[in-house]
Amino acid sequence: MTDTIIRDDRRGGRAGRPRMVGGTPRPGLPIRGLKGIALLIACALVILPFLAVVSTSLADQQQVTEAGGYVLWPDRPNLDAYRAILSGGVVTRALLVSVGITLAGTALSLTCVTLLAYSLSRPGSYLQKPVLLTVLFTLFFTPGMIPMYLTVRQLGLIDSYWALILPTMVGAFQVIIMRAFFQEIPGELIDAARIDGANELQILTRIVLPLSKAVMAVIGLFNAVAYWNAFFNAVLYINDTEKWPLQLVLRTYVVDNAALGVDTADIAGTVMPPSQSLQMAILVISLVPIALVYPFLQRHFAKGMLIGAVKG
Amino acid sequence: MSDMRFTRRRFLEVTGGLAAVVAAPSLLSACGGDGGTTPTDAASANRAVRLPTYTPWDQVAPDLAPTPEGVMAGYYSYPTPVDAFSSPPLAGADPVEILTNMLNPLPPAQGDNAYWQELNTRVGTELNLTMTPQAEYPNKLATVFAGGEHPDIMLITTTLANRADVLTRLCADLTEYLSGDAVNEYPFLANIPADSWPSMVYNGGIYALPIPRAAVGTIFFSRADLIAERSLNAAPASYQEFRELAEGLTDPANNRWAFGGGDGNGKNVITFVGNMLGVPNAWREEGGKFTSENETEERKEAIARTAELVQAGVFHPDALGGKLQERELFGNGTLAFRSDGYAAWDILADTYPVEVGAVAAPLFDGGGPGVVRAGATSFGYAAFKKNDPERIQQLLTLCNWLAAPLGTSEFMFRKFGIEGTHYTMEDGAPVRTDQGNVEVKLPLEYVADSPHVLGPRDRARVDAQRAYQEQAVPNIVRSAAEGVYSETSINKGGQLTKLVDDGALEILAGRQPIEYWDTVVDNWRQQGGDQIRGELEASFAETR
Amino acid sequence: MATEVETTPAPAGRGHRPRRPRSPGAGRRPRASRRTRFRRDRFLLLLGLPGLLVVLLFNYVPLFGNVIAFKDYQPYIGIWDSPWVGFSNFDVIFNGDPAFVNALTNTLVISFVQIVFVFPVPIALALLLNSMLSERLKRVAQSILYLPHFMSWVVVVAIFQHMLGNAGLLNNFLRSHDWATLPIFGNPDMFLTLITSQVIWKDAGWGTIIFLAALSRVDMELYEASAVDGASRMRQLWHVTLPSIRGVIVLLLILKLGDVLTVGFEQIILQRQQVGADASEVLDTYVYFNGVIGGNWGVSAAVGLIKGLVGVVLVLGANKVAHLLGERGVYSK
Repeated sequence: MTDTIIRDDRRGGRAGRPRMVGGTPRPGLPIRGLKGIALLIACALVILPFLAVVSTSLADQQQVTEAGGYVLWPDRPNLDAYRAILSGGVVTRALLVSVGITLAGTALSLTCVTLLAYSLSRPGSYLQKPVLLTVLFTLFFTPGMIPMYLTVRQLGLIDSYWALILPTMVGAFQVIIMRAFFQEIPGELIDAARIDGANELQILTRIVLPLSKAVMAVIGLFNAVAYWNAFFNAVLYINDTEKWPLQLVLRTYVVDNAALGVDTADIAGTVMPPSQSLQMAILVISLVPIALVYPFLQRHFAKGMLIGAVKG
Repeated sequence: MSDMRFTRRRFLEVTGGLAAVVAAPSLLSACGGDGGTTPTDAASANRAVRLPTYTPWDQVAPDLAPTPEGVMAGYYSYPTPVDAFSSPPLAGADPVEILTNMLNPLPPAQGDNAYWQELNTRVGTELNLTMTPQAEYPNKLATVFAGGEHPDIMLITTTLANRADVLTRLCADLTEYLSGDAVNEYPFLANIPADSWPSMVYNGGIYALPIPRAAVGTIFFSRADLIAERSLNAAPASYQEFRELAEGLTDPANNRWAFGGGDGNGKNVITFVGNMLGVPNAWREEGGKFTSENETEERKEAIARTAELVQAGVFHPDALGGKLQERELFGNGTLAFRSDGYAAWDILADTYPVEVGAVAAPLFDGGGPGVVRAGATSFGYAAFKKNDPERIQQLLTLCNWLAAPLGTSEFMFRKFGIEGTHYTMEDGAPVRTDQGNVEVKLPLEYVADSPHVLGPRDRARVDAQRAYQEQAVPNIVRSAAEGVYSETSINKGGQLTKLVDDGALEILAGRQPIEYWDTVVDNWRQQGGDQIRGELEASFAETR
Repeated sequence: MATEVETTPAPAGRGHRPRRPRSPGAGRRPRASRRTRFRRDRFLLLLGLPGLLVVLLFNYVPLFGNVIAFKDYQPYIGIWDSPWVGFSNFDVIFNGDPAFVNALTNTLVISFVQIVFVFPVPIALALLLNSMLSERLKRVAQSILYLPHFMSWVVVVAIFQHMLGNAGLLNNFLRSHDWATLPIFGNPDMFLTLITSQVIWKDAGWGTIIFLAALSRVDMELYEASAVDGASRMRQLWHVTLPSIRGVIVLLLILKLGDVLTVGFEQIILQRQQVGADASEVLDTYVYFNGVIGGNWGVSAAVGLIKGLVGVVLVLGANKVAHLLGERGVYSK
């Protein structure tokens, strides 16, 4: 039972102690097989539609037409759809804008959220509950589109990249989640640091953050994805199309009259909706950058982070 | 059927009459009031407006001339363009701020867009276009209104609530510049057919320019090749023959169906069957009494017959409520019919290797043609911010320039860019270069545009389209409510349409019996239908 | 509520300040004077200030605009100049229209089903991933499973219809073999199942990451200790793994409860026509068609206020329950 000694799966086993698989006895083959199959099915259910998306983006019009929308495998793969989107530099420019906003926004957001969450995480601190409730209530009372626009305008942020970063910078959900994780950090560690004369900022950077890489990665990802996918604020706040983020530019490729059931048969006939392959290529283009980031964050979710850091 | 013809006659009285007959200079003074008028006041004021005189621009003759009834002009080839302007029309004017929607991919910004820069040069000043994807446009418009910084020219959409109030409060009254012969100052605005102007009138003034659309509206397209392949009758002469045609085209085992669901509610087919039965276009008027199409027996019958077609299995199984890629399915033969805007004819025929036909509705029991519902005659309302007369005139001059029709060099530049850079002429037709494809995408056609024409195309295509129009246009019915004012109709129209369409869908889908329609109509009456009727009747009485 | 904070002793073993000047018996009785506590915590407060300012500026300042809930607001007239209309914007909620009651019922049913059937899926999936032997397999699976989160609902619905629609791949296959077709789309009885499976497909993988983050903190020594004691895997799951993520589960569940009146607007409005309003109308779509579509801004603000109030009551209530059950909840007692 206890002879299942396995490698440490993170950088050479800092703790230097033998580990088991997830600290548990190795299960029997049937169990492992079942788990594997369950995971395989789950992955297949996701992969197949994605395969269809990618295949359709690579297929030619003839095949898409024959298949009636989605093809499972492109017979004559070509990059025409991607070429059509990326030619002219409009989309590539928007891609840079989006990357910039996502990076800057995520960094600023993570900083503010972390600081706020930490300041609300120490038991019994002054004004904690009123501030926490102030933050919490924003989950339920959201300002309307027009008052929000007027505020942004009053601050002189129209046509400024800040208008895309600031309004969504501090999310209550994120603060609350992060605070909950901070609260799980053993109090003795913090007490010990304080005895050593560390101030709050030092405690945060030297004790709390190293122990919170996982939740930082999660919240960072939430932020990055939110900034990456956002387009609506840009519709309202950015008139200069040079500053439009990728998702908004890509939306101009999708004529979506039917989405909300508006009857536009008479007027919509004037524009050819983009081909299905173009629409799927748009999906792929908007997905690739964020998909590339994920593996880098993933290692922070590995098992045994906390204990390694505490003992290390 | 007789009231149907009556409706047509009525229309000519209302629109044509307004344009040509009503000349009441004394009443023009009634336009001075700002806001605060009751609908009936507005109606009596609206009657007073003399619409712009329609003067077709005739320096270039089309191969097929347009008709006063609304058959579009046709061209077999591109005419040699003439220069309509000798100098930049807005030379020395301040830059123009424009807010409009877009249905095309975003073009490069001004600094990187040779077409845009050349446009500014040719116009004589900077055109600063704020573009917003169409789906987002209503929200954009709302925030711009709320912020209070209005652009010089803005596109007001047909779905905007309180449209009359918005136009009369925020926008410039253009009556004195456009009414009657005054429009001759702007020959390309005078070239916009009379059909498109009546809905630009609010509270006794012309408050916007139309973006003209042809009255022929929606066409019931068919896969002519599939019909021929199965030796079926491509021109059904009655409902029975239409149903046989649909059944003949359906083959479930091979995923072949006659109809999709249009917007997912089967309204495409309900309307078509309704055309066989003479269902009025929105409203019918008899002796000052208005009847909605929803209240007619014919409409109920059309729904019942369409439900029967659903039962007969000639609809695509996901037609009702599904999100079908209808154009693709039409292209690959899964669907044999598709109801779409008239401009889709070329799009369908160019995109797919198919032969596109158009079916006109016959009378239900045969013996002649059914009716054709007139389409909206304007895409939206191009309105100007209130401003001093000099600026208004500049903006009108700009729109005049933007409305230069096929046959002018201004048109060629507007649609295709600079020859050699954005397009080249091949076999007498412009072919876009890569740069042209990217840059010539400014949504200028939603600021001002010339009337649509058929072609320029090969003779066979243009002749087929023209033949359909010549057959269909005489049977066009318009709404008796056109040019008659109802605030409720503007503000609650979307909601009420949804209510009625949802109700019909319940019946088509077999979730409710046909009797349910009466409940739907009752709801419709209570939630605003009766109010609209009241407003229309009051307003109509005033215009007598 | 504020007094609650003051009288609450810091949890044992997690004392806030071991050396707290002028605060005798810290951890037992933190009731120092307001000034003392301010001086003690001012640096902590300063750290939170930037974030708090952003919240106040972009969440609270524009909130004043919600007065339009009591006005006939028109953007072109302005907030101040639009006329007051009392509570008439709230009629859409309180007029007792059977269609509204139907929408509310559907919303609650869908929310309930999603809490019971959707909420646990990411937890189970996270546990499954966490227990995989091969770290590589786990990572690959993870990076695949979270992808659908990035698809828009339009595409998700289209893909589902393409696969399971009445003329989708499945049913066309059945039809071409003369077998009975499975009416999944356009079938009111299947609607709840359909939208629930769509939500699971789209967001279950994405939902795992927060639990994986929580699981990453589980002390390996606990497993080892329990393994030495001869605990079975199930017992370990029950006694070691689950307790370690219970806090996060409870927290998310409470927040989810506060959202009980909101179910995917876009997802449902896209599929509403399939089955009709009886089966698919929810609060948000009802309000959309009965106010928003007519340009009635006041109605959406009014409904927003009511939903906010309900959300707050539910979250505070759920938090109380959590406290009674010995959980920390969203905020400490």
